[in-house]
Amino acid sequence: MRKPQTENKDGQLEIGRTETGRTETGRLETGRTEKGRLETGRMEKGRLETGRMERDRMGGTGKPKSVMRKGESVRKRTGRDGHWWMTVAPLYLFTLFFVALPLLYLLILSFLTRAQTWGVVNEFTLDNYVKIGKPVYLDTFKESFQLAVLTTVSTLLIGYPFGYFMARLSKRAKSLMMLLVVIPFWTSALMRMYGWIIIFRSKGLLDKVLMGLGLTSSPLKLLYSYPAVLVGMVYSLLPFMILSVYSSTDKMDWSLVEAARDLGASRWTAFWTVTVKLTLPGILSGIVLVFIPSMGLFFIADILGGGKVMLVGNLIQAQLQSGRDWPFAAALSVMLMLFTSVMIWIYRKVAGVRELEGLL
Amino acid sequence: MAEIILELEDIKKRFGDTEVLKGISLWIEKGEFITFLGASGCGKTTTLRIIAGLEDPDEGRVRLNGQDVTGREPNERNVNTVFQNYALFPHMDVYANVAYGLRLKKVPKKEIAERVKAMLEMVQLSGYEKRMPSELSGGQRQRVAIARAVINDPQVLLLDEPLGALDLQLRRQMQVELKRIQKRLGITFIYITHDQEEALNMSDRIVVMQEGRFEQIGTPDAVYYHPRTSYVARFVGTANIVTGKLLKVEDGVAQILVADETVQAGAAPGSVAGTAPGSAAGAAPGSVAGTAPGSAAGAAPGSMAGAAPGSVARGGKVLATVTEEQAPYLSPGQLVTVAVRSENLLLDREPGEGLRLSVIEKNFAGGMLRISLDGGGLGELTASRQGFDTAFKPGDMLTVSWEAGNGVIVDLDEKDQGP
Repeated sequence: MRKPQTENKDGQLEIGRTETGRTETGRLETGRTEKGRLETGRMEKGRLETGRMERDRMGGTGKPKSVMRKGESVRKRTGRDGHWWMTVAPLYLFTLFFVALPLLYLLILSFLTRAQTWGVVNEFTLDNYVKIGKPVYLDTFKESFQLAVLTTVSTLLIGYPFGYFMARLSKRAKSLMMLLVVIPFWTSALMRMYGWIIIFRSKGLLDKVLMGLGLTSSPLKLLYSYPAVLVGMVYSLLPFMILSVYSSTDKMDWSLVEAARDLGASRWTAFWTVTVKLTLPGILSGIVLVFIPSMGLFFIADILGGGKVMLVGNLIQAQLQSGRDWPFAAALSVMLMLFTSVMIWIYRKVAGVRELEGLL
Repeated sequence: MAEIILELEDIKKRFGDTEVLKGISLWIEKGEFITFLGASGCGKTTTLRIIAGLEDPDEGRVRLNGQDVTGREPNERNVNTVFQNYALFPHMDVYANVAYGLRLKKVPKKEIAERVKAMLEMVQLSGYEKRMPSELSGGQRQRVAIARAVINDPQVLLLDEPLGALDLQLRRQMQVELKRIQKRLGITFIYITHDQEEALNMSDRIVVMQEGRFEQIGTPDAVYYHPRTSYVARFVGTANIVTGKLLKVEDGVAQILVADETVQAGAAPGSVAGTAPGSAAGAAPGSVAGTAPGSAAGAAPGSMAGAAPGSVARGGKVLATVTEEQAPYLSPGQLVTVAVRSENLLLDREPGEGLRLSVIEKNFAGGMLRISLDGGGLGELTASRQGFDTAFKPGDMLTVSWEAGNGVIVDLDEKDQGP
């Protein structure tokens, strides 16, 4: 801790030195950069003192804030100087070629007729959409929706506490946790699903452990079942929930929770009325990030569901490959997109949150 | 006024290796406006957080209205806080922010509406109910934060540097307003600041804190005019601190010989340099009247005269008041430290009783002209005057003295001077 005595004297000396130029070089620099502030400071003592405090907080000898700011703004100005299109144009081109045009193609495709053997005939029809109304396909949508909701709720229940406590860790622990959360992405999602087969299969790892502990007497036969698919979904989508909850919790101003407690809120009430409300953007973006893929992920249902679980994703894949009905697959995709868009719209309406953590 | 609302008993707190509070005790009376004054890191905010229940002390007790509340949750104490950064709920409008505490207490809706309305009127924010905190100015946010805390009718209101983020003009205005609110509601205010002007302006009592200890507790008047330690003297207002040998105490006035050891040897009497005759007493009227009263003429010879010409500073004899409490601890020959406010330094071109110092520079700050004086081994002294300028120029040799009543002996036997 610095002795306030020296602090006081320092302040006085510095004022003097700037004017008379008696400073050692190091001091002079701070003096000069602070000069504007000092001059106003001289008029009003209070302000001068806060100025001094700020400098002290920055470590005294460190570069004054004002200087760095100046430098940055200058750089920005020259960077922008008439060349904005160089940075923005590739973005537009990319979006046009890889997002807008394929979407347009998909939309057109969904109104065309399926060819007898292979490919598409350029004949307008609404049949593809009418076909979706069939109970078989509607049921697939329903089942997908149910699984997606279940997946989303599960990831939220696991991911929220995870992300929340992760944000409250020390800096080093935070980055370590972040690494652990992201590491699974370094291996193929497909490989990881095969890993679950080892765990879930009859007399697999899980059965061995449970039976060894005497909790179950016979194999659970979990593989190729609905719960297995759910576990696989939750497992692969959980990081998205964790990371978006974390990012908004990490930004939380914890003094707001203290303020709530101070005003008479219990821990629980403060959590619900302040923390949850303020991390809502993270929760919502997590929901969106989990919900949308879980409607379309087909390989998890394939691998862990063994064909017993049919989702929209599987349906589209089947139509595209074995069914060879591209227009119908396109129509299904369009419907799926419309459906998720509506879902997002409802989220936003309900939550009243404009920005979903930078998404959407 | 004798009712004690809050009692701190030997509170200790450490964070890791740092002992933030080293055992502080304090009684606060009902309706008092008490200010914790100290530099950042002195433990004042920690003290506040312990009172609020946001932090638990390692040792010691907190008693609120006679009840031991140590270890109780913040929501279980009738204490509210105005946070430094206001901590307004960004997702709630002004009305919801102010109503927050009452809603938790399940106060009927109608009553909440009435009380919020009255409270917003008091802080002059009527009509702002629907605004979000982000749409308010700093001063307005401050008022909302005050209203949000005060509406709960706390026994003690804690304010953590509430005006720190506001500009000077607004700060002065808010000081007056806070004082008005406090008087009107009769709530005990515990106010934290590092701004001595704020502390002197608003408080009934000031607690000067340093490194986890209370340096001095007293009225603004006592802290300003009778600082106990050199730290208090420096921190509250600009005080000059000089140390010297006590010659004698006579009629409650101590005569102290201040010697600059760096130039003592070889000082030749009479070789005073750099005094321009005839242009004396050119400073602001009244403030440079005369030198110290001529009562004590027995300054040590040799220490009065000039040494090398120019800026060499020299010591001399100075005066200080001795209080009755201090008298028993003083004996001739011991080293004593004297604090003198910058505005009380008397400057004279003519050689006389006091310190001979040269002017380093002058500058105009905070409505005052500050004259820095080279004290050589004594350190730098500062004199302040009303007005923009003075006839003294850098390099001038001046006799610096003060009236006995303006010199305060500090840092004396700290152990015997506990609160």
